[in-house]
Amino acid sequence: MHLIPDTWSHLHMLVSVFPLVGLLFVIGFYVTAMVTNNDGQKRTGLLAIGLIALLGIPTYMSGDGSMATLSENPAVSQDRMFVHLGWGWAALVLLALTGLIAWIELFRSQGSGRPSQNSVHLVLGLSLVTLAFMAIVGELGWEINHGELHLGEQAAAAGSNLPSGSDVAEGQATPQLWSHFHMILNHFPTVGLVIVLAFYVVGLATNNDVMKRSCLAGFAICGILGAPTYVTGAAAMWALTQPPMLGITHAAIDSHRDMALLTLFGLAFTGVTAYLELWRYRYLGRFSNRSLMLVLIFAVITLGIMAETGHRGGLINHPEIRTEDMPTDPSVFWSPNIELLINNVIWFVPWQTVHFFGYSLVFGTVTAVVLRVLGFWKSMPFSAVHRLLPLGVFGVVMNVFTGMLMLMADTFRYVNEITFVPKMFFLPIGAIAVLYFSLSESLWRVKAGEDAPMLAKWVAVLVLISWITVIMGGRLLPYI
Amino acid sequence: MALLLLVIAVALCVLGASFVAMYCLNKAVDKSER
Repeated sequence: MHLIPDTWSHLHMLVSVFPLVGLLFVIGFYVTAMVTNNDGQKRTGLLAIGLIALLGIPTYMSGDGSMATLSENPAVSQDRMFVHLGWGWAALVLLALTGLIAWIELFRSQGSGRPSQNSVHLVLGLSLVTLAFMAIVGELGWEINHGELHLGEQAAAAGSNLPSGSDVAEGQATPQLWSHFHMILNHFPTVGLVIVLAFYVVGLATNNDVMKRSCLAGFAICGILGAPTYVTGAAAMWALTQPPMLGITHAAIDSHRDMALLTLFGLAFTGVTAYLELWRYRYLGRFSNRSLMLVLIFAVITLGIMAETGHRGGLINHPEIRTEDMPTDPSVFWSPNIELLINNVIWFVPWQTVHFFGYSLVFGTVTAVVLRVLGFWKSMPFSAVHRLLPLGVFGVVMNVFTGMLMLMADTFRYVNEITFVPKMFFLPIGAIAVLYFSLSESLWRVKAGEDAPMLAKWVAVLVLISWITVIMGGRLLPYI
Repeated sequence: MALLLLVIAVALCVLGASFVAMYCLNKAVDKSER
């Protein structure tokens, strides 16, 4: 496992994502604590905000060290580094202020165990402003070394190199926007899982049911985000290799892809187990310690796999962190071999059939639940239709698995089809929105004959539109 | 013929596993509601 960096640049890349993506997840837990008025989670949030603020120190120092090294490289723009540094200073000051106030309130509320309303809101406001600055700093930082983000229309590749049967115009290359999304998105399941795990351990230790539920939802969200991360990664692969770019090799990418496949499995196990426990809690009113431990074990294993995946991903385009021999032969890895295998009809068609059953299950479940929430079949209490949700989850899991396999059959074609974009955009939205049905207290209390709350109806419409878009986006792939 | 049989087998396995999982999950909930 590559967790110990050996250069300043490497340390900077590992640590700098926590004050950005880490802070976003902590804010998520913090806001949940405010909504549910759970003092334990509020105080854990204050602690986490302070710890993230402390990470500003190694972030700055490692950034300073990286600048010294990168300044010797004429290919790296000095201007971009200084712009990143300037914004970094401003963000660091805000981060330090936020962390300081968070910890002052944490210590002040030690006796009563209850942070004051004013302080809680002040910390939230400062955190949100800090987050905005961190997003700007992060974007400026990526631009230093990711030259592919600046490429406009790429020169036409030799037409004969394009895969056959493609609807894509001769010479068109995969847009770099996919690479940009992948670079942002890949930090969410990774950094997110670290933050969720930290809160989860605290929640288990303090036996705080609200925190446990928030974390189970957090694990489910990290799991869901694995799918678009993988897809944007597959698209980025084509954006970076067709036409070829200096320093980026197929072998390095395939090494990363293999681990990414394992990460998907890990995230799926963690996310599904977490969601099922969240679902079951609704009916039993308590957690099963065995299930909670299982989620913990899956999450820790997944974290290990993701660390290696992330490391191999960094090696693709960061020569400054390469301290070991890079792989040279792509054919030794699983991914290119799976691509060759799945191109045979006898392997592709069964998985495609499962994919169709999967979205039937998803749509059937969505229809039943959404229509009840909107006011049809009021003779049923909401808890009755809630029983169906795991069937939809199994449908989604089936489809992510078979979808990945089908994607590998002709990645270039799929990622360049216009209908693939709304499909992958609405997939995580539709899946995450469904979590609301298992988390909302007011919706759970809807008995036979009663109308659901208005917010639930808005969420239901979002869920319905999302899954209709996903299904249509997929079905129309061969035609538009 | 082989393809058809393979498709049927895979679909049965996958759907069968889903329905069995649903049955087990809901059985636990039924017990607690009684």
